[in-house]
Amino acid sequence: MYQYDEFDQALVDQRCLEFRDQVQRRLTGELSEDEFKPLRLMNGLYLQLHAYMLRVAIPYGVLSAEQMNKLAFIADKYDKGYGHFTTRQNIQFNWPQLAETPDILEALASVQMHAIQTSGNCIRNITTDPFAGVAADEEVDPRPIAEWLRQWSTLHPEFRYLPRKFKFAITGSANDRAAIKLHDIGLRLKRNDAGETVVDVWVGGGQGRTPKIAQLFKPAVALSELLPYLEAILRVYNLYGRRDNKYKARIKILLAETGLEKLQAQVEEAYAAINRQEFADSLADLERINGRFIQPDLTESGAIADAERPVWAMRLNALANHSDIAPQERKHYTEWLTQCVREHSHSAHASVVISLKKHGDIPGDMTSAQMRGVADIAQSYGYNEIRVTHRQNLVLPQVAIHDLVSVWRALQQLKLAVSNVDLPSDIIACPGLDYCALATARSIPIAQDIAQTIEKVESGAQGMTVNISGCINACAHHHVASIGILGLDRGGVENYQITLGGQSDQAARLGDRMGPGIAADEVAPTVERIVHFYKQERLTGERFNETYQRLGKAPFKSVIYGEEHVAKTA
Amino acid sequence: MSLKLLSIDGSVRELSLEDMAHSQRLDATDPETALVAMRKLNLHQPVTVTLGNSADGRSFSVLSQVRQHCAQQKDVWVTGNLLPDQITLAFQCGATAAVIDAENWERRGEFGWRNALSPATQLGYRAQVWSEVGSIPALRKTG
Ligand code: SF4
Repeated sequence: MYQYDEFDQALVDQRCLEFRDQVQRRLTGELSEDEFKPLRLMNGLYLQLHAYMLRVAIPYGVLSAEQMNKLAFIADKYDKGYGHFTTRQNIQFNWPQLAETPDILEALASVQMHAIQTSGNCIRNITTDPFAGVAADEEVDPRPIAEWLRQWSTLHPEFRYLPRKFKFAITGSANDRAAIKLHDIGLRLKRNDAGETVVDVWVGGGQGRTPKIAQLFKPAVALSELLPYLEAILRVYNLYGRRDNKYKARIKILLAETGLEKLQAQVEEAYAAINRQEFADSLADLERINGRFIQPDLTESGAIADAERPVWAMRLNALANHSDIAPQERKHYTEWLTQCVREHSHSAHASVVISLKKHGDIPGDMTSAQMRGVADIAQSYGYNEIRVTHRQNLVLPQVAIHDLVSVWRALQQLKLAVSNVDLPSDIIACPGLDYCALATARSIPIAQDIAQTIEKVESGAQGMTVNISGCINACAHHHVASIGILGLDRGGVENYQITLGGQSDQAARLGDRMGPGIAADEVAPTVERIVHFYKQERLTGERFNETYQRLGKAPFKSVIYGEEHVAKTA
Repeated sequence: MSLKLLSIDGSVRELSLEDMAHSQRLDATDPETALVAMRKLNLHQPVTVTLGNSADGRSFSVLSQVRQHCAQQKDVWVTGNLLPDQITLAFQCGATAAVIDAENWERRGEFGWRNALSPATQLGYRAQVWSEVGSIPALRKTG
């Protein structure tokens, strides 16, 4: 992973001092709340329903064991002993005191972390594939480019007060695990015929009340042109994005209102006017950044030549018969291998996904003891590295195959050997009415209820996603879930709208709204019926969305509302 | 109304309305008009850019373009209802001085204003601070 140099460290240290001064000025009343608000937001500090919330950046979702230990320390000392991992691969602390936030930032800076630009109308944490650098299907490792963009966008003086927040995602694989088409800018790294890295730039994706799939804005941008081209897009957006209505302020609306061709022309004009001299060193900067990525030295022991490498499913079968696994453990171990262990580009290794979705627990929450435990596992077996996924889980990106049994046992001790990754109970849920000032309904208790209800029926429903948002802002990405659930307030009563058939990968698609919303206590049984119906109707190997597309809306509406209701409203 | 001119080198002086009269004016709160007017600027005369409120980021895109357009012009000033944190960004986008009215100056105190352009505050990967010799690249690292 990337190691700070002196400049990086000086910058976060300076920000701590600056924020300490700003907090002091707020506490003495020199700054009004209105004046303080944009400054605190630049440092990830929100005012929530009950208290301040601090969102800490985890750049492109990569954490070291030492950093995880520091997060555990912060959770214990300044919060209530836990943290919450988010869909932007960050972590949130829900109970910090304003006066203590400068101390928290200092603790973070001591392990090369910060909270810069995790909120406010600026370029937010850049997200990427949680299997970046290790996925067997990867063409280009996106992490150095994500770090390059992090540095370019961090404290960029021109783009600190954009019309609205701005989100980037990057992937270097044809299988998009970073949801690039749901971001303001999505970057797909690939190789051209000459073997050079080029970048397809997608613009205008997003969720919220006007969900949009991004459009291909410019294909195959050379790396030498990438920063000035992105600067041109941001400049046009900064100047012409709407500021009169925050719900129409994202670049997706500018694109829709301006039209693709006209916006492309405006960007080209801005791009032509950019002083290229300013970017003369940008490739050298990328080189320097590359040089500061410490790559683990993966041992060759146990490696299998590519030609002899069995397909992954067969390999998992063989691994399940490990001699250290007692007969009574075999079922659980096999489930865990199937659901949580992924193929690695290096044949003697695998990636392990740690589900933070134990049935009935709060999705994405982790106690300080679990954080320390995972840090220990990463130190012992995982080359010191941990990733956060946009589905609010963790990944140990590289674990030697021969250590899998030990890792499983250690995760069991922590109650983290939960075999539901990519199953419907692997729910993304936003904080909803339990914490969020903007919420119109609860998400967390509904997610807990769903997970417990479907635990017995979800086996085999691989890749079927359930996402639940507590308001139209769609922080939990409900538009792009197999089953999307949106909590609304109808005359003081919670009401949940269901969408089906969404997905966030390379074939990104928005879900279809099924009809009127349903009551809170109806949500879990409804999800259970949908899962059951899918498993009953699917053809061999068919994923949920394929079954849904083949059968169409009607039978699913009957499952949700009952035959009678559908007949009446037909 | 008395005005202070806080320059990038940290010096402060009283400014008269007459001084201001010598400077060409651009209003960044109306970017389209400002960017058209920018092309007609006399590149040998100082420019003063009026910034919008602190959350109106359009000002910084206008200012960045004015700086590029007037690369040889030493004096690019900013004015408006400024905050110290805002002038930090303005200096990073190419301003060389900030025009601050006396009441605002008093409210934040001299320390607050000077702190806005201390070398530490100016740290940034894309920061570019201008002086008589042009941009100081030592403060930039990426881009
Ligand atoms: S979707 Fe709404 S309720 Fe949920 S976190 Fe976002 S703003 Fe809050």
